[in-house]
This record gives sequence, C-alpha cells and structure tokens, in this order.
Amino acid sequence: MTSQKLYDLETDVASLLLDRLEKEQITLQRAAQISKYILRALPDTITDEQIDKILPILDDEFVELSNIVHKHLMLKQELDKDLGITEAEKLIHEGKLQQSIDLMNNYITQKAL
Amino acid sequence: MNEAPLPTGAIFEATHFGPQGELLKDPVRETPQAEQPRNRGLFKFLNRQRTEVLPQEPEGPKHVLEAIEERGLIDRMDQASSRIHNIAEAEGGSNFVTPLTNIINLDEINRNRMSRTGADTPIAEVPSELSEIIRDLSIAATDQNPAMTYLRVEDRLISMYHSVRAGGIVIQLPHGAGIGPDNLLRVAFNPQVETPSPELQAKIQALRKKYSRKEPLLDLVDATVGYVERVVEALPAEVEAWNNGAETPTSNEGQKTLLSDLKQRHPENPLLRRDFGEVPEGYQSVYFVMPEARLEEIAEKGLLPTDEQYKSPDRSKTDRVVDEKAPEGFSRADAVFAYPDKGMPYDKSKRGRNWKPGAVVVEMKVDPAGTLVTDQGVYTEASRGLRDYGDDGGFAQDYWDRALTLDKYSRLKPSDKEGMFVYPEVVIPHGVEPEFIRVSGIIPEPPIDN
Repeated sequence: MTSQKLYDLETDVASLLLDRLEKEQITLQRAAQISKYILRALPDTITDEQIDKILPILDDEFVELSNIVHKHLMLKQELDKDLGITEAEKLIHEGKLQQSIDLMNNYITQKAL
Repeated sequence: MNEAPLPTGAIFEATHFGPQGELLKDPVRETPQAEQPRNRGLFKFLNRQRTEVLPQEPEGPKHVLEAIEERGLIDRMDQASSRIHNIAEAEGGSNFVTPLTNIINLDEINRNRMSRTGADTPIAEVPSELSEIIRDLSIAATDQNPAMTYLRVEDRLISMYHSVRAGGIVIQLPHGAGIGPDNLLRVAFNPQVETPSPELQAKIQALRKKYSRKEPLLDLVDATVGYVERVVEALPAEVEAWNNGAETPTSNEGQKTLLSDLKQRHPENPLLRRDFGEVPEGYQSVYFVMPEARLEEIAEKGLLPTDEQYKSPDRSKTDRVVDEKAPEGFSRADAVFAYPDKGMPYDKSKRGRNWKPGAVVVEMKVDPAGTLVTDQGVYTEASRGLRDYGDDGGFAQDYWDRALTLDKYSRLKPSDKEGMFVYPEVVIPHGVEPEFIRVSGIIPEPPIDN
C-alpha cells in the first residue's frame, strides 16, 4: 500500500521529469536514470520513517532532485514543528513546564543541525 | 509492486522453437508500425503520461516513472540500432554484420579477436542477468558457457542466441506512444527443443513469473541494452582490425566503385544482394575467385565440383591417387576449394594462382566442422611426382595428414598459421549451394610501380 508521503514524493518527481522533458531541459536518458533511481530507492514497501531517513541524500546523485528534496524536508520540519508545539502545549497544560521547555529546545537544536 | 502486463499468449505458446519459447520476431515483422517523428511521438507520450496516467491514484506517479525509464531504454536502443545499421551499410557486407538484417556475428568477431590477439576475451561481457537465463535454459553441459553467438538488433527487437541447442532470448521494445497489446515491452525465452522436458518447462515458468514483474523486466532490458551498447561501441575497432588484417590492396572506396559497376552489369544477380539471413548458426566464411563470366552460372547452380570431362589427365590421375588416401567422408575429386582467409584472394604470395584484375571474389558460408584446410602446395608436389616419376612420393598421404578442420584452423593465431601451408586451401565436400554464396569483392588493377 503506497503511503501518502511516498505518493506525494513520486508525484513531484514524475511532474518534474515530465516538465523538464516537455521543455527539453533534460535528456530522455537522464530522465530514465532518475526514474530508475527513484523506483529502486523508494519501493512500495518503504515506511514513512525510512523515507525520512533517505530523503536528505536523495539528491546526492541527481542534482535535479534538490528542489524536491528541499521542499519535502521543509514540509517535514513544519510537520515536526506543529507536532512539537502541540505536544509542548499539552505538557504546559499538565503543569510540566520544564519538560515543555526541553522539548522546544530539542526541536530548535535539531532544526539548527 | 505493480505487475507488468503479461506478454501475450503467443510468446509462450507453440512455435517452431517449441511450445515453451515463442519467438517474437515474426509477429513484429509482420505488423510493422509506422515510425513517428521522434519529438512528436515523445510529446504525445508525455502528454498521455501527464493527463491520463499521473492522476491515477495511488500508483499513477509510479507508472509515469516506469514509463519514462522504459522510454529511455527505447531511446538508447534506437541509437544503438542506428549505429549498427550505419556500420553494416558502410561495410557493404562483412563477416561481422549482415546488412539489412543487422545480425552481428559475435562468434566470428570473438574468433577473430582471439586469432588476432591470442586473448580469449569476448567483444563484450555478457551481463549476469543474461548468463543466468542462458544457464537456466541450457540443456547440455556444453551450454554452460554463456557466450552469445549471434545478436540481432532490428529496430526495437533484440534477439540473442547462445547456440543452436540452448537457444536464447528475444526482447521486443514498444514501438509507439500509444497503448495496446502491440505496444508492450516483451521478453521471450526460446530453448531450441521440440518438446521441453518437465524440468525445462518449470524453469521457463519461473523465468516467466520473475519477468512478469516490471522491475526485474526493466532491469533485464537495461542490462541487455547495455550489452548491445558495449558491442556497438567496440564494433568499429573490430571491423577496422579485420579490414587491416585482410590486406586488401585497394581502399574500401575503390572496392565500392568496382562492386557498384559490377551490380550495374548484373542488376538481377542474387549473389550481389545476398544477406545470408538463412545461414545456419556457426557457419564460417571462406573465399573463392572466379571470372565475372561465371556469375550467372554460380547464382543458379552454386559451386559444384569440377566435372571429370573438364579436368586435365594429370589432374584426374592425381585426384584418383590422392583420394585413395582420403579420410572417410572426403574426396578431393568430389570437392570444391576456397581460400580460408579474406585477404588471400588479393595476396599474390598466398593465393597460388594469378587472377586477372576484375575477377570476382565470392564469400561462401560453410560448416567449419565438416570442412578441411590443407595444403594445395602438397597436392601440386603429388601431381609433379606422378607426372615426372609415376609416383606421388608420399605426398598424397601427406596432403590429408596435414589437414585440420576449418574450425580449428580459424582459431589459430596468425603467427601459427604463417608457414603452416604453402598455399592453404579449404576442401569443401560436394560443393556449395547458391544460397550460401555472395559476392565479396573484385580483384583490382595492380598498383603501378614507379
């Protein structure tokens, strides 16, 4: 079963390749190499956690993918931030102020990395 | 993972290769599709991917990526096919590539490589995917060496043959941007057996199952196209080395002009248009020289042993004496003769006879295992002995003792062939059918000495 994350990522790559091929900004053979790489790197069985791990290195071999990688990393950060804020608010409501501060510090440190 | 559409039933149903290994070339040849201008076809393809395939959830994007990967393979194949076609045309027919059908004789190329360099390395390594298939399909211990003997690249159809016994595989790439059963990527496995054993049937079913999945199928085609590309990459150097080794004393351009003139004089002669498409696997080329006046006769009857009534008394007598010592299955009286190497008809020092400029050199395909190479010089000695002293002096026996099969001879290094015979001659029992003969060149005017 294809996850939404995988579906979104593949949609972006497929759209990018179709765009570039239509505008003749990429050769068919290069587009085919990228397609092959994506299909092998992101099999149907991959989990969202595994996608998160592989995402930062997905454009190492094919620089054409850098915008997509950046977009999905930003989305992940936004998602992590939203989840973090929700969790911190919950901890504050429970009176766990120090734990809430630690959680936010942890998020800021990770983002800085 | 999504499944690739299974090849149509015809691929795995009964054919002349046997019920488990349908060959695709005939259906494809019978239903050629008009080639579209490349960009137009590509844009049509891209448009269909964007409007019809991409929106399909959840696997639309994956199918688009697979289609692009497939399309890239087709593009590579088109380039390789075009290069082979150009090489075949430029050569005007050679041992290595057959014009029109684009059959690459890997066996011949590899034999020449070995003969030239002494190294037993093929023109290109067979990828592991193909080696495994060949081993799976092999039906004899001798088939375990997965080297390919023939590679046929015709448009978007790749046929690879390992041997007569073990067969090979056929890959058909899609033709156009449209969809439908005629426009699918297909692979067929074709062991050359009438009735496959249950074990072989099981292996074929396993292969069929494996390559009905898109990813392994694309990987197999990728490996195959890569193999074709490596062969094409190395081919020009092999052809050049062969041409240099042949020592033809005229330029290719000069030969082309002479051949063009010959075609004008004999517009209907099939020997000038033969592509050797039906020659059995493993047959090798030998060369024969004749006056132009014999072209029509040879085209009709083939090359036949000289009738006794046309022989000189000396030759009749020598043939009789020599044939008394002949090994079983061979008779010099019932044979025709040829040069074993392409350059010999053009080389006065090797051909043992002085041909007039304008004589026609023909290439003949013969069974190398049923054909001998021996020394015409020894035959001449036997003839002299009989004429002058009434005794062959042992040369009749020597003539056959020195013989080796053409198969063995062609695997020798040039340095080993040098000095082996005074005038090597190929002894071909019973003659050669016209279907196995074609014009190869013309003896040119001798160069003018300053």
